[in-house]
Amino acid sequence: MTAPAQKTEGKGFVGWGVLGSLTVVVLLVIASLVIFNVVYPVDIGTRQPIPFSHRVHVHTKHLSCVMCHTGVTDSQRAGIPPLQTCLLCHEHIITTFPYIQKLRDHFQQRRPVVWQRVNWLPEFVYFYHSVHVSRGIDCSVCHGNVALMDRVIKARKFEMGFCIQCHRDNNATHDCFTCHR
Amino acid sequence: MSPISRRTFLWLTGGTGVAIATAAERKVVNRLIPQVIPPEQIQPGEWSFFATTCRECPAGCGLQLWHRDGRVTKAEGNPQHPINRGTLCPRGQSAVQGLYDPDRLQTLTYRPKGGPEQKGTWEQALGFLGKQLAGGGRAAVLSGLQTGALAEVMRGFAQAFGGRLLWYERFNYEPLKRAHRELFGLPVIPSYDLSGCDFIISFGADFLESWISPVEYAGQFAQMHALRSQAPLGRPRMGRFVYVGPRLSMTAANADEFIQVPPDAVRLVAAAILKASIGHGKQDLSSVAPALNAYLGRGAAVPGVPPEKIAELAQAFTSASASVALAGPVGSMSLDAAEAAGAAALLNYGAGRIGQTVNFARPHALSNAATDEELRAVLTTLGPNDILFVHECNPLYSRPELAPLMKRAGTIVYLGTMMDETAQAAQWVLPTDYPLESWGEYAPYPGVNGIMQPTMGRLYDTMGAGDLFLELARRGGRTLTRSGGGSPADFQGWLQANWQAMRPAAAPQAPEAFWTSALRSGGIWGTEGAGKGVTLAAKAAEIFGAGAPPHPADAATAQLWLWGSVLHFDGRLANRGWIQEAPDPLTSIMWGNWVDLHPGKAKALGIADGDVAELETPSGKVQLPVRVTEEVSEETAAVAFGFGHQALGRIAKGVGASSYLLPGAPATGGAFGTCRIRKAAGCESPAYTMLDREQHHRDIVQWAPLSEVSRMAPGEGDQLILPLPEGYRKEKDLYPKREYKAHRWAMVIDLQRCIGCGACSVACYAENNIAVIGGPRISHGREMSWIRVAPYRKPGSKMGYGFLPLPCQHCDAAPCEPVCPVFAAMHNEEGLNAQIYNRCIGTRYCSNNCPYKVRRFNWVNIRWERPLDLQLNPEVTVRSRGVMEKCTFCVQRIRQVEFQAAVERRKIRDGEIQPACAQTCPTRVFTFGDLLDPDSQVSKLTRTDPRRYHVLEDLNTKPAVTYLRKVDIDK
Repeated sequence: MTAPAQKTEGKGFVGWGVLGSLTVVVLLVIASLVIFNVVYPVDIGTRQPIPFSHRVHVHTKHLSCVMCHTGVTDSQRAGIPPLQTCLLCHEHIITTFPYIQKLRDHFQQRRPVVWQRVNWLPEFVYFYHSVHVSRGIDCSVCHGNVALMDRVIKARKFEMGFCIQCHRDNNATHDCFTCHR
Repeated sequence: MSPISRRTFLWLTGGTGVAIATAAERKVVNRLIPQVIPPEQIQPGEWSFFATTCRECPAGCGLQLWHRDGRVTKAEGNPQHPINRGTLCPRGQSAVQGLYDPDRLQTLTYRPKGGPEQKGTWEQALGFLGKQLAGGGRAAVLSGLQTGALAEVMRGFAQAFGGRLLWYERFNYEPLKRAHRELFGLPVIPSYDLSGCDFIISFGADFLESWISPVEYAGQFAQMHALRSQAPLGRPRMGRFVYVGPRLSMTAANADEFIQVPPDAVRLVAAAILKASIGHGKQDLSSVAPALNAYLGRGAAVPGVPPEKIAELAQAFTSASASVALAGPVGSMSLDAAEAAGAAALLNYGAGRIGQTVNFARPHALSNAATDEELRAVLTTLGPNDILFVHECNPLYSRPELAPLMKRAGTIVYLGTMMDETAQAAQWVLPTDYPLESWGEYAPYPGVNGIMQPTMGRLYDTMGAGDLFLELARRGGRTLTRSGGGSPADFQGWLQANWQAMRPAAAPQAPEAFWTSALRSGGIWGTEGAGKGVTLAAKAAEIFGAGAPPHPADAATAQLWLWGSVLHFDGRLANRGWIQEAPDPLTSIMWGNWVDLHPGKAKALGIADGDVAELETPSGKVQLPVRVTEEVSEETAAVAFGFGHQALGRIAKGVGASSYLLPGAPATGGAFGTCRIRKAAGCESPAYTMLDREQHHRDIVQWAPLSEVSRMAPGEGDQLILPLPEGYRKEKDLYPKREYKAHRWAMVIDLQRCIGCGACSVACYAENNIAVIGGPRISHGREMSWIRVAPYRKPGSKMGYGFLPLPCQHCDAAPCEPVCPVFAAMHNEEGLNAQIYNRCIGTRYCSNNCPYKVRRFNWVNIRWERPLDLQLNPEVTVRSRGVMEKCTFCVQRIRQVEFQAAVERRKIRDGEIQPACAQTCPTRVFTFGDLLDPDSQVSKLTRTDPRRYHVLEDLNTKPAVTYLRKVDIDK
């Protein structure tokens, strides 16, 4: 009398166990695909609070990168332009377009536009833009063809292999202390 | 049986995996916030520099602050400032920790009499106080020493409301001022010039630590006491320094001769030397001779100092081309100390040093500090209708005996940045700006005008003291007016108007340009006041004999000797981790104070090292751990000032015991009176960073006699194995030779210059984000300091110590490198011994294999409590637990200069790179540079200085740090 009851219980347990572990395996597979960028190799770019298009400004209007990213030639960071820079032109042109109106509102209220960061380095890596630019490394080497991007995407994964490969190709330093300290 | 089932475990791990996979890029803030209108000259992600003036003590050094993205991260000396010339002491370095102190006052507190404590608003406070002032309440102001505009505002305020203004400084140098008043009719602290002296004698004045203007004197002392190899006469020479006192302080340890006498005999030695010098000097002192004879006749023979020694010192003092006598100690208000100061002043006068090395035409601002008599006179007049404003000083901690007098005031209003002992007794506690956030000025000497400017925005809802007094005066119905006319709306306007008034004399510029250039250079400094003579008062001799006769010896009684350390000064900085964690220079004790007792005394009392002793005077008693040492004389019980806070903050509270409870009213019988000692229950060893100061025949710190050094030509001396390819010996070296292409960074450390103050170590904490981990962990050997200044005893000498600043030696054949299994310890292309944190897995093999023991392991994850994290240097990685770290020669500074030079397409200039330790060192111990550049200073010293040596050279590590031996004056 007691044996079948035991069997039923055992069956139920096995069924749930298989299902559970299957779910876990599937989730792990999905997770690893996402982690290693197999599912979404390059996304379409982060949505920004104001849909600023690099394509329009760089490709169509032929603005230079350094016009807005002024720090790139003489400092560590390229710099995100202050709103004042946008207003240099948009004080006069396309002033009524809704997003430019929003930009002007921000400026008038002295409220910064909070952009979504696209490219970043871990905190134990120190990278100097000016040194690379002064050696003639084009922005596109790391940032891709920004001129054709509406929303900026991360063109390269900034992993150590990427940096080292370029340093190797250009016979540049391999000193750990150059980037890590 | 585990409480977690297999199913739950799988469920959890699966869930975690998904969570990790989907929440990407968690460690950075994924936002970019640009400026709207960028401030001029401040570029995001780049350093900018602001000049201001240090207000951590009354010395008034110039500061240059490293500013990054709206926050100040490091305080350095202003190279243009005449007081400190770019250098800074450990206390000045810690200014940023004061600014970002998590315990800083952030809101107003109101404690109505008889009611519960409550939070207040500015409107409430100003309304309340304004009404009371308008209703006829008198206002007395007690403030830490100020000069210039703020002093003028405070004085005007006190006068407008019928009160007095007093500058409260616990170290008020009353004996010095008293002696100068009685001898010359000048109750001032003159300026001293040690730099050109051949001979200095100090009677208990710790001028390298806390006496008047320590950074200035340390710089001058280095000039005087370093081996000057480029002396005009050709032969290297150096000045001689003799210290007379009861305790081997850091200053005494730097003396060529330390004469140990009991506290009450310091004045006798001074008087005896004075007596022996009469007739040999330039000025006639025969008028004081009879009084001096009587005085010395009354006291017994000067204990422990033979007459020949006295005569020799007197002769050396008067015959030197320049010499100076200094008298301490800090914090004493006794007549004994005034006698010693009087004797020192007469020595200077007799030898013709007034106008030469002692300048009364250039009095220090500290001359204005209130004496005990003035304090009591003002405080006793207070009544229930009066308001006592206490600004940036803490009299209830440092003069607890004044509490009943202060509490006579109806209302105590505290203006400051910390909830200290005085703030806790106040009815109103008003948070003021930290000096780095406010406008102001400070002139330590007439003509040396340092300016203060806000170097960052306010952290909290605070108010500048100047604006507060102006507003209160307005609400009290009496708008203050400048002495030069006009009543500016705010304090900044007042300050600017005052500075414009200085303009015609100082610089023929347009007003705006003058103001900008003053802000940029940190102030204006005119030519120094020429030395002027003084006339000896007719009753000069009366200075002697006012003090008490020597105290009779008694086994349970000792003479107190209280001292202000280079780190803790008068105790105002006790809530700073860096200051508490920095070891005392000579004893290596941190996080607490202790009492020094002589072995003889300790034996008589049955006290052993590490026991707890109770010191008792009529004013109070304290319990302290005992260090038994011959560094104090047998009659002495020596305790440091600055510990035992009951308030101030979480770090300071309860660390050590307050020696301010002991001296009470101005004492007699030694500089601080006497105390009774008994053994108390328990034992408590102070926390040491270094347990042994012996060298054990390893010759870590080496000495060379002056006669020998001065005979040697450049290039003679030890032939060092250099950390260069030329240092490679096939038969000796296990690893292949290292080649360097561009640079080989190296350092030279001149031990003769090092005074042991530890400024380098604190600067390193500030620059390199080194964690403060607390006393107990350090007692377990988990010290984090990348550079330590280790005191080592000179072999064969009882009290001779040498200080050895020991950073990573950046060895060419570094023992740490081959043992790292993951190549985290790497030799870099420029000779630096790099530690790559993101590679390190924490085996600690490298540290085990390091013969210099300069590698530090992170045993815990340190949380930088807000807003202390704002101080972190963004150019240096913050290390986490399980990672080894060490000195990098400040690679971030090397890189900054290298990259700058690369962008500008030029070579790096010698001396352009300065690691933080070298930058701050008040005595310029460190020389940093490139060994591959034959013309660099560091190359020349490493290759040719006759005093050069490597620490543990026989290990063939080929260190990149070369030391220059200390120099002994031949007997």
